[in-house]
Amino acid sequence: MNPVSWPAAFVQARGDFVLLTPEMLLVLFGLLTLLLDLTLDDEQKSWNALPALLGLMLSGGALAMVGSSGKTTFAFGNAIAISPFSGYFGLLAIMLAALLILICTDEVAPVGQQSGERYALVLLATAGMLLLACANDLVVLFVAFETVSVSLYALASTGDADRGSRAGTLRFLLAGAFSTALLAYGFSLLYGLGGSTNLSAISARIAVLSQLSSSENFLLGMALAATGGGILLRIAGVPLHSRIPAIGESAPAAATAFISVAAKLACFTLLLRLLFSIFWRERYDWSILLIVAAVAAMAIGTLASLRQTNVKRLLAYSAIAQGGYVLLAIAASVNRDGSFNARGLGSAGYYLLAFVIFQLGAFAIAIVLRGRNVADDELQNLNGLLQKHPVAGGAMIFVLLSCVGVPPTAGFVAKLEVVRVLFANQHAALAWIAVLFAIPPIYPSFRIVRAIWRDAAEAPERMPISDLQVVALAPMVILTLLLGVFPAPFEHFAARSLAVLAFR
Amino acid sequence: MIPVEHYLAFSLVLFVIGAAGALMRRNPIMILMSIAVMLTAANVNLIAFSRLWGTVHGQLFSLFIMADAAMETALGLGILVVCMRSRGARDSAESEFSKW
Repeated sequence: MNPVSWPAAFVQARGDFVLLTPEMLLVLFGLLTLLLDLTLDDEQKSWNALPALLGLMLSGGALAMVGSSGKTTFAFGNAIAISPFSGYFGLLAIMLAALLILICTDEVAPVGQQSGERYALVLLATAGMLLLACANDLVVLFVAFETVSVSLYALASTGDADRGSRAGTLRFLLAGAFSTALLAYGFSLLYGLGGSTNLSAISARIAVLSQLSSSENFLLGMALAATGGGILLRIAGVPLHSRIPAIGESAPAAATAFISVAAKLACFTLLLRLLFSIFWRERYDWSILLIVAAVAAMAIGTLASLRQTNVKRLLAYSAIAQGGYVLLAIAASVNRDGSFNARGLGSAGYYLLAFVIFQLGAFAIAIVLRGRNVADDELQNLNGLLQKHPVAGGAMIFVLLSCVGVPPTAGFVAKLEVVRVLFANQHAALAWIAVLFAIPPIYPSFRIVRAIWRDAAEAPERMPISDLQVVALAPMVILTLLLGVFPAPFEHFAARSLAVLAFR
Repeated sequence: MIPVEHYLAFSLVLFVIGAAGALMRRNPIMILMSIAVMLTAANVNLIAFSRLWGTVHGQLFSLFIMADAAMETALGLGILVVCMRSRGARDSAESEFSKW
């Protein structure tokens, strides 16, 4: 490293700082929200949403400007790579956070327990996701991933303590910390193999070695097992599958929604970033790993959701099953002969876009329509919804259809595309498994629909729906329909953004 | 100079001990401690490799991991305290987590 004095280094890096404007704006406005929270009375906590939304909008604008060139730009000594990939995932994260804040401003919470720090935590987690998408260095990846995770742990522990036990939150933290430890161990082995923490440098070095020695091969395999295992534990939650739904007991519904979607998004960003650079050489091994995790995730998510009567838990399990489809799509981006299949990766990107929209939509409607007097989220709270609020009830049914994968919706197109890619790649057995697992979720969704349809006589008293919530719900429903009817431009956008991964 | 393989073997043993502890213990405090042992194993690797390659990046990385371990432990203990307070002091830490 050159001995550059501090001010000189700062001047040199000034152009680089501009590239990180979206992240810096999010952190700035997150801290502003915290400060504003101190000045607000308990009744006025909803005003916190204002700086939070402003920050997200500005950050989204900055992201669009930074990524407008469509080329890959490196900054901070190659530690940051701004590319269409980072733009795509940054956009998903900002959209997720903005929709969530719009919904949860009026969330039912007794006075004195409305917490302003929730908005700040959402912004900080989003900043972490943006940084994760553009990181090109193991240290940056690790720190960004932990920024997301720790914000989510803190978010899970907000809310009032009387509602159910906090044990679920603590288990979620312990499971997360365990997978982080696996990840850190894998990263340390990667540093040992590559002699650098830079992703490009490590992949270049691994690619140059035409024949790895047996010890290097062993280290690479261990690194893949540790990092892949750490990330897949979080996505599929295989041995720890009851954790994420368990937070639902104590955390506020909005926090559960954000956690189950944001944690998935962050894990997939990290997974894609690593698999297609450092681990590309080991693609046969990781595609098998992904397939095993995918089948496990689909089996657990589907079977566990069958007997749930709690809406939040049901949706959290269904999110696990959806993750399985994305894993299959990523596995399908490696052809049988080991070449890269852009269509597979594109279908993974499209699935993630659809997933963020319809999964959050389903959670959102469950939040909006919760009974006023009932603290939990049991199914019967939805009784008589269609008669009382025809628009909201109809929206809920439509979004649920998308979760299940019924034709005119985003969920259907996303699942269909994954199955088609699998067939085209001669993974026919896997394609049939994917089709098979699409059938059982119809049953729990049918029960929700039946509750919505039921007589209004049994309906509990509800909070009125605010204008802000309508503003948030409308785009989710419209996008779910639009993605289902005109998928081509979105699919093209996803495929083009994610294809960068292959050529780096 | 001790060859790097020795450090690797040492860290692997540490890692396995930590992982076994994290998976087999019931008490959340013991689980947090076991996870800290796993992270320490990663740090040992990083510092050993840092000397092997003669670059400072590994040592820097290990500092970040230490900060992260402290952060997670602090948050975990905070949640644990809230848990215990709401359940009353009579319950031991174990009873609530027996389902783990």
